[in-house]
Amino acid sequence: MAFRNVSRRARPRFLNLFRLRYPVGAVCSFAHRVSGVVLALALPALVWLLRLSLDGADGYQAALWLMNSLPAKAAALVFFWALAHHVLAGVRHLLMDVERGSSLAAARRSAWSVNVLGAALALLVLGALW
Amino acid sequence: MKAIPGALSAWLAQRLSALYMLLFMLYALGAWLLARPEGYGAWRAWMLAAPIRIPLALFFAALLVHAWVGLRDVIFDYVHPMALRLAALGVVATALALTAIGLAPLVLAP
Repeated sequence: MAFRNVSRRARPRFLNLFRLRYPVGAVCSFAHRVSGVVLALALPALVWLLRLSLDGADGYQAALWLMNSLPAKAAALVFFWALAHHVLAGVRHLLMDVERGSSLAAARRSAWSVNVLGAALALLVLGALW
Repeated sequence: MKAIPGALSAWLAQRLSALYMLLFMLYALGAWLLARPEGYGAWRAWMLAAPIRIPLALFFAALLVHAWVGLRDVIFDYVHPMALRLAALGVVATALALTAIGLAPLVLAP
């Protein structure tokens, strides 16, 4: 490959984040990554909450009480956005793996849909739960 | 650029675990919407029902594998000094191992 000869030092770098452009696909992709990290960070707390809810009737009540607190609702909004976006963007990736919707126009459309639907689903779930 | 050893199997594991979790979550969502468990007894029976035990254990396993591959990729992309990278991977591996230990009683509960 041609760039084999280019030394590490001479490689062009263009990492000024304000000069990069962010087409809708990039936003969708980056949000997929961010939402994945959010879900991973939430995992220990969720496992703890699940264990608490299954640990006797008192634990169940305590878990319900915790979930009805304001900070928990705020966290739930972030969590459900992350879950919805991550799943939708993941399905988009899987479809592209099998060559569905990988043309530029279709990819831009699906990226818009994922970004908007992810946020809409998060609000819907939050509305339904409380 | 050298390929990372096991990159293809990680790629495949990420997709297979994603597909399994997607199907499981659709099933769980459907079951929950059809008959919402109210109260501790119903909730426990719903979560720990015998027929769902093995699929649930597989879901937890898929979740841990998926989180490991995803976080590993993020660390590979952003953490370049080798010592720091190994430390970050160690933290993630430890956290996921503790999570697995936390989940084990649910799968093994009587």
